[in-house]
Amino acid sequence: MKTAREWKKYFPVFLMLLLAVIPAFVTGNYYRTVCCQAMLYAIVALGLNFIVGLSGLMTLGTAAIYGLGSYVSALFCVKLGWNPWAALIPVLISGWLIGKGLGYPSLRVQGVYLSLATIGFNEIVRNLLTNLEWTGSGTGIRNIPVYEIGGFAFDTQIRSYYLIYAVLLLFIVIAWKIVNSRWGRAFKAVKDNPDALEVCGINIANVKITAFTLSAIFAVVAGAMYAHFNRYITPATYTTDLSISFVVMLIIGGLGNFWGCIYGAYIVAFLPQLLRPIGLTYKLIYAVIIMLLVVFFPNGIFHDIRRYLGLHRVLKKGGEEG
Amino acid sequence: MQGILLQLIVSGIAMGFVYALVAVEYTLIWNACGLLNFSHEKIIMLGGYVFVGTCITALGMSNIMSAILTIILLGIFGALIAVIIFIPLRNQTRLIAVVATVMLGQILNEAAVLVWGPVALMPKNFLSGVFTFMGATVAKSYVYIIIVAVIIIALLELFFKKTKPGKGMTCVSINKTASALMGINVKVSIVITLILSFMICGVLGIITAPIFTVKQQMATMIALKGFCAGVIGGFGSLPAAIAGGLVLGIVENIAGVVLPAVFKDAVAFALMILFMLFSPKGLVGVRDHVRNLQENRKQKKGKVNI
Amino acid sequence: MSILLETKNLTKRFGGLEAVKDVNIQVKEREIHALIGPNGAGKTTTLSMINGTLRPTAGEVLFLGQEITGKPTYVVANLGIGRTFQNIKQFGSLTVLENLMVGGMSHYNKGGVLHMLLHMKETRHMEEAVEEKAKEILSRIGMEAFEKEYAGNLPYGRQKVLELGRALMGDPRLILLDEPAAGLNPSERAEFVEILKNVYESGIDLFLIEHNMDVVMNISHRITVLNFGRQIAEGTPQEIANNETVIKAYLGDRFSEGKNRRG
Repeated sequence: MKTAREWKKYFPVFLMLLLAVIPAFVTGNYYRTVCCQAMLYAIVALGLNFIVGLSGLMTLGTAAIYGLGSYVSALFCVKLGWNPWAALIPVLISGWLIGKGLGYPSLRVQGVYLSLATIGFNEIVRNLLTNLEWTGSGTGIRNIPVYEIGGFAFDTQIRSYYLIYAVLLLFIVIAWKIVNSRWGRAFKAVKDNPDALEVCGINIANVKITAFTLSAIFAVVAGAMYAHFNRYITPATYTTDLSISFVVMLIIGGLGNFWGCIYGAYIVAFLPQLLRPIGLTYKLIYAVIIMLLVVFFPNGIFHDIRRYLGLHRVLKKGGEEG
Repeated sequence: MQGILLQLIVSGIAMGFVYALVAVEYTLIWNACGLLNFSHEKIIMLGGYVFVGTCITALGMSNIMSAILTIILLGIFGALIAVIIFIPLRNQTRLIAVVATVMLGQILNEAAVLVWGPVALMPKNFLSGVFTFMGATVAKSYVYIIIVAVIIIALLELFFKKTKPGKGMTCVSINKTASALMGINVKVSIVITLILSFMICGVLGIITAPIFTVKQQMATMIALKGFCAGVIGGFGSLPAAIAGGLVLGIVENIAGVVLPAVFKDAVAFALMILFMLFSPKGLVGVRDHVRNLQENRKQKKGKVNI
Repeated sequence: MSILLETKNLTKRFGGLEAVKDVNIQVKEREIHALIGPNGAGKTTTLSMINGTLRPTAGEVLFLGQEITGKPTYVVANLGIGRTFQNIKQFGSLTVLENLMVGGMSHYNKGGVLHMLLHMKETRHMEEAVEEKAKEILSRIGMEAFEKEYAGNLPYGRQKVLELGRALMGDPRLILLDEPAAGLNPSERAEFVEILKNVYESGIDLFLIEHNMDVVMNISHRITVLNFGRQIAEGTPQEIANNETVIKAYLGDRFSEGKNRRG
């Protein structure tokens, strides 16, 4: 019989297969849209994991970066008539710049201050998007073109689903490579003990800025995908609440837990939709559930359930035997 | 022209005191548990709803009685939240506590719609009308805000300097472990802090009701700008929080005239980020820096004379 | 013998307090140099100024004839100065092996994230090289058995050894050790001294702060004594053991304290 650890090796494959066949079971465009949303969230969460999960910095401005990706891509396509694929270049550049730009303050501003500064950043961006003429102010941007490959347009829910799925797959591979590399170790080391990392000959500033840049690039790409998938964006989407939701995904998945980012994103995307039939009180119930999850499962749902059941030890043992 | 300037200054000071009270209200919690209460926006909103929606409209009480009852109810609610959230989470990772308080805010937000409905409420005949003098028309509500804020700040000062629980709370803010060892009950201190903080939120909800009307987002901006005020003043210190609030209120109001209206709300955040980068200790840091410079200059002068 | 590390009139003031004043130390090649002194003598401050954690108020630090005064810690580390801390600074959520691999990160791996993603093969080779080195160090410090253990779960003594191992990963010329034997029991201490001797024999020089006289007298070739931030003596262990000023600094304080109490 195969041990738990051996089965665990195949987990990513199972997960990706599961995601690949979901559209067959989820009928109706509404839930397929939610599925797409969840995958986009997962991309952002994978990126945010570098800052919040691994490096332990509290940033609450991710929605603004996500929005930046959407707006840059949408503006280049709608105002300048660029191809959405070509618009990814300015999107990546803007992500790189904003990552560096946010990374530098994070060297001087720590802990709760960083949360406040990033909330401030989020509010400034949303404020500007709402008020500036050329970003379409409060009404946003309409009629954003969709992605296309040689005349094949990703214009239906199911087509978008597989496009986003492919992008998610790409980002999972990239993130996995980074997490399990020297950079992944450096990010965790920054969280554990920055002083000791300096003594190892590593520039902490460089490590933190790298974390921010990576995270920003993941977020802007997801943002750009969202703009071309939804075809309509407004500043109201990119609130501090969304930033908080991204962090909630990480907490529900377990801070620093790689696969946790993905199921965390699915839970945060689907929970409100599943609760919607309840009616008026669904948002209230959603908030209560999230709060209870955060308070009682601070290390991630699966991790803590296993801990409560005493299963965690058993699994570890099984792994050692194998 | 002079009238407009006066108007701007009075409303600037009034908003400054509102920010200052917000800064005071969360600095209290910060000092007692090392946590930021990210739900304070919704607590202020709750104050507004309880005051207008429940006390005045549903119970038909007089304005004064309503205000008193609201503040008492908010105090009780504060004690409750202290026991449910703040005491259990005081030793958790900061991030968890931040998210928990944000969720508390969302719960209150949703509950408010269910209980009081989605329509904005407006208190009738409460702090309405205007004063006119020296060619300026100043809304009465602004003047009352200034008066109430000054009274609250004076009372807090008395509480911290003269009463035993107040002194205990000061100790807790300086060193929690040492205070616990010296026999100050940290948990009780947290409960008292939450009660005080929520009562101030209640007052804020009541006095800002005529300006913003009572609705879900009534306190969003003042809550965020209160954070800015705290950082601008110097985090963790009450006098600094008040100074930060006043500076922010006046600067923002003047900026509203000089800059396009679009940027008015962004001014506070930009100012906060600038302070964080260049003077992380806020105005307190600036003051210390200036004092150091002066002392250095004095010393140099002294040497020259000798 | 040439001079490896030299401080010239190194001084640190905290406000009005002179923590360290005019310290001149010369660490020669192939030498274990110890820095001793009563509590609050400014030993750790001196160490921190050498490796760039603290910026000196005045004075210079030279390493292999090159001025390194006030350079950032990571630059100093990359020049070949490793360091361990008095109160252990460990990456608790990484395994022992990973701790060592972080220690070798700047030495064995170059290039940013993009470079890494675009050169998979090179990356894999570098990872293998650093892992091999880490395993070699593990066997040198006798911790192979703990390879997969999280550093945070190790007993105190093992964490101290691991920290030395991490410093070794950067292939340093010199390691600064801040009280390596503090908090160890006698058998752990003996083991640590053996490891230190082994490290020294492998060609790495040591500069250590130590309170434990057994350790200091046992392994060091040269000793500098600080008291109230001033350098009061320097010499071989023999000379220091018989130095009047040093004895006064260590014992005299206690006598005068006693007098004060009586008076």
